[in-house]
Amino acid sequence: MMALTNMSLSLIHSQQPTLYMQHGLQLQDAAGYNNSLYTTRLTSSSLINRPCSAMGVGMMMSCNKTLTIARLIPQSKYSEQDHGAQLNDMSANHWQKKLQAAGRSGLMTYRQCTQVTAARLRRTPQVSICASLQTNSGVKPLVQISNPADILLEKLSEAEPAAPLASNSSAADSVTALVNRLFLWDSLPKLDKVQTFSVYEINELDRESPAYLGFSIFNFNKKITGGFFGWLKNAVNTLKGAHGIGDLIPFSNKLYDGSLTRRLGITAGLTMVVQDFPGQGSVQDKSHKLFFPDRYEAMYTFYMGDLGHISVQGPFITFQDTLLTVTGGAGLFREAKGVVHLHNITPYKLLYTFYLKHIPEIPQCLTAQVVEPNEDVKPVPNAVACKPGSTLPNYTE
Amino acid sequence: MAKPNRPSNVPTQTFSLYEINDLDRDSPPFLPFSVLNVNSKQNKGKGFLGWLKNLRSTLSGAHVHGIGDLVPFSNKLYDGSLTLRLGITAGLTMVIRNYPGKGSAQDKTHPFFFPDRYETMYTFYLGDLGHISVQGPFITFEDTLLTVTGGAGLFREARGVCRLHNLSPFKLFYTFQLKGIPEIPRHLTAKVVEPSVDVKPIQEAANCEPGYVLPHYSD
Repeated sequence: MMALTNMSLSLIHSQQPTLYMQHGLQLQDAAGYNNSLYTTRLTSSSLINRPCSAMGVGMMMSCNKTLTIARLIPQSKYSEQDHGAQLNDMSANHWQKKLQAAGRSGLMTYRQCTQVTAARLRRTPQVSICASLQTNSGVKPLVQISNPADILLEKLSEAEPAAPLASNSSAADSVTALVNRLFLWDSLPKLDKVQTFSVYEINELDRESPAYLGFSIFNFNKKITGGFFGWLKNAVNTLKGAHGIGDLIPFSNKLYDGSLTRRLGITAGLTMVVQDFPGQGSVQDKSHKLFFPDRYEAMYTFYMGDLGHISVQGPFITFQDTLLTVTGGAGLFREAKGVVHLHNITPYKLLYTFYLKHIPEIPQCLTAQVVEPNEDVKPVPNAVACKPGSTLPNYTE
Repeated sequence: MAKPNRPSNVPTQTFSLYEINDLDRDSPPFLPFSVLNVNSKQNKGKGFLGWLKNLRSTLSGAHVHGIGDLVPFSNKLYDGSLTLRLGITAGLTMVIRNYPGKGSAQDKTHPFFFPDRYETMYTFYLGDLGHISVQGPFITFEDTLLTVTGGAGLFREARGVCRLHNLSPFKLFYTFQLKGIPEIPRHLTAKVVEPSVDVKPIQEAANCEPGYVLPHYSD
């Protein structure tokens, strides 16, 4: 995603070794942001790397209490005001002044140097870079690119885990904690462009789903001949697969990201049979024992942990791809508008591709390379086992 | 913070549709689950035998509608001039409450008229044009206003309302007022037939003959 080009760093040794990072680091990401790294001066004997902070500014503190700030100022075409030009000019001087103000030792607290950046982060989508340098073993760049959504997600994962649904905690806070976390997404700027990401929905047969409620047997508008025994025969046929309108199928399956390396959460909702189309479906479809060629009307929601949830409604046809409409969402997806492309792989595996507008820039956990859909794809064992690191923070279960 | 620009004077587009139940889609299956409602006044305090009795009345058709009854449905959709078959509707309505005695004299002449209030969630499928999802109240003896929750295709960014007008239990007249969609095609803007109980689509549209259907109309 990020192409790292043209990085030049020079190490100048003197009595007090000083490292200059030169103005030459150009980064361009898929969205076409042009970023440049501005020089700052740092003094260090040995540097201790500090990972990217939640506010997106990387810092390195040395044991001599010297601080280096490496920060990218994006020239984003999506920011309402063009902060880019102003920041470009100001920044180099600005940071040098800050360093000087902090005194010869160069100590600057995390809080101080991020106050300004915090304000700027809120105004424009920022890309931050955190470069790790080790004087002894030479230069070793370590870039961690993050957008505001990633930053918030990191913050949420570091915060206290939200109270599980079944807990009997008496603290009033824990009851609303999960909901309150979703309101944190409202402060992120929403983009007008259409954003795309894919998720896999997989039924692992461990959630007692789907609950097939064959209520079409109670349909008195259905022409059934043969009196009571005819009705009984119809009931048996329904359970064998002759679906009809009236059958309701509440369901809930597991949700994984497009690269099948991360468990996101669950889907939950209702599908109802509208019509059955006997004979439809490809040969491969029909090889599945539980394939039924039906048209359903589906209303359900994708729950993605701390990201929030997104509700969809529309047609679901087992032998065709369909397009469902996004009716709304919460958290990251609060003002989402768009559609979802549903692709059936098997009766238990579906690939969704969302096309959404009016959501903040989607975090990296959703934009990994999508695995090509085929019958045999399955999530990595760590994701299935829900090991930390292979799940979304507070993924829905 | 980049808030999306919401212009306030975007023209709202209006068009009308007829939904007709020809009784050939096995619709609607009336699922009388209010009988399983432990909170229902009908079922309270009457014990097991009382419940059995209620169940018997349910199965025999004398069932009084109550919350818990679900009615999935799917009917045919025609344009406002009743000359073009557009597709189908499909979705779910659930009984919220029964209002005994309500309804005009004309309503009550119909054997399948029940004075209820439903909550509905369904979608109008218009073939290649796409589909529109709506949600809201459906009252059999009154006009109601449903909200458009979204759509796909032509109606992808549709936002607006839909007015539901009952002509009979098997014929409904809808008027959509939508924002955010491109200019609607001529298929939907033909002269609307005045809604009345006796309206019906022209024979060619009812038979789905080419020229009287929307391209790839949903069925």
